[in-house]
Amino acid sequence: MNTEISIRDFSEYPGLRHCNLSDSSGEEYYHSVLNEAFYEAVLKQSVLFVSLDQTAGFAPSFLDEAFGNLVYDFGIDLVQKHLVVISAEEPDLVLTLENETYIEWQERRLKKSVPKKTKNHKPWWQFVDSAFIKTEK
Amino acid sequence: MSLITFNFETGYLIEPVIDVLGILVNAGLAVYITSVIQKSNEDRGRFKDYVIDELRKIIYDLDSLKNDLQSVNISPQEFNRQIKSISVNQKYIIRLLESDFGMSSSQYRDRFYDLKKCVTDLQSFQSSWKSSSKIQLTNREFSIVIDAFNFCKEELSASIRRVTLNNLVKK
Repeated sequence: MNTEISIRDFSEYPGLRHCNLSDSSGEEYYHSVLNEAFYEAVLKQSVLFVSLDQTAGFAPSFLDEAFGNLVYDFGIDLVQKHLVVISAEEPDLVLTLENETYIEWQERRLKKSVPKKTKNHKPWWQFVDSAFIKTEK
Repeated sequence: MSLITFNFETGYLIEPVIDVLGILVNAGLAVYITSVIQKSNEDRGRFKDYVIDELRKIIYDLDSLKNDLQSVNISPQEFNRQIKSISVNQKYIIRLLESDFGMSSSQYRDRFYDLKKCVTDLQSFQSSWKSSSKIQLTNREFSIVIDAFNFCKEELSASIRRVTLNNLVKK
């Protein structure tokens, strides 16, 4: 069964890229919500729908960090198979994610260019060498 | 030129009657077609005016946002809220440009995204976030921001020109 979550439930005012710059950052959203929700969707062979609507607007860096980290940790193939980002209000944001963010972060994954973390996070899921592992930093 | 035909039974001339009827029918058709075309042209004109007005509103909203940044009158959160409002409002009109005028708006979409990215990545924007204080741009930042706003406005102005000259694709 597919799952739908909304960033609005995380914050009405999504912040900036990193935790050291703002509350409710893209980094925070990824580590506190998105990583686990996506991992569960993959395990269940289902699709995770993420709605971008009903917030007070996004800095592009929030979305880049949150969804980019997902591609970095799981790879573009799993993300394209198990994630659908939806926005009736700003469909262009979805296009930017699909056409630019995913591709750039997949290149980072291949180059092993590790994303910056600005605070310690609980261990999170990654897909490495065809296996799911929990990583920590 | 028609030949005059005499009907021996009724004693009337037939062809002149038919010619007069033909003229009346043709005249009626001409008036009907002219009025339909005129109405269609007026509708198209009104539709173009509507699209141009909406594009001008977007330019006005962008100018207003730029002025708020220039006069240190807007917080990062409020900037995000206003730029989202512009984005939501312009979505429909961009769709009309594409579907009804056959115009590509990809360049404007890119410019608009660049504008958002440019402002939200600025040091002043980020340093004002936690306190929700008004964004105080440096002179250098402001000139970058002005360029980004102007690129958007140039695209919108070009769209207005194209709408003015363009025929509708969908009629």
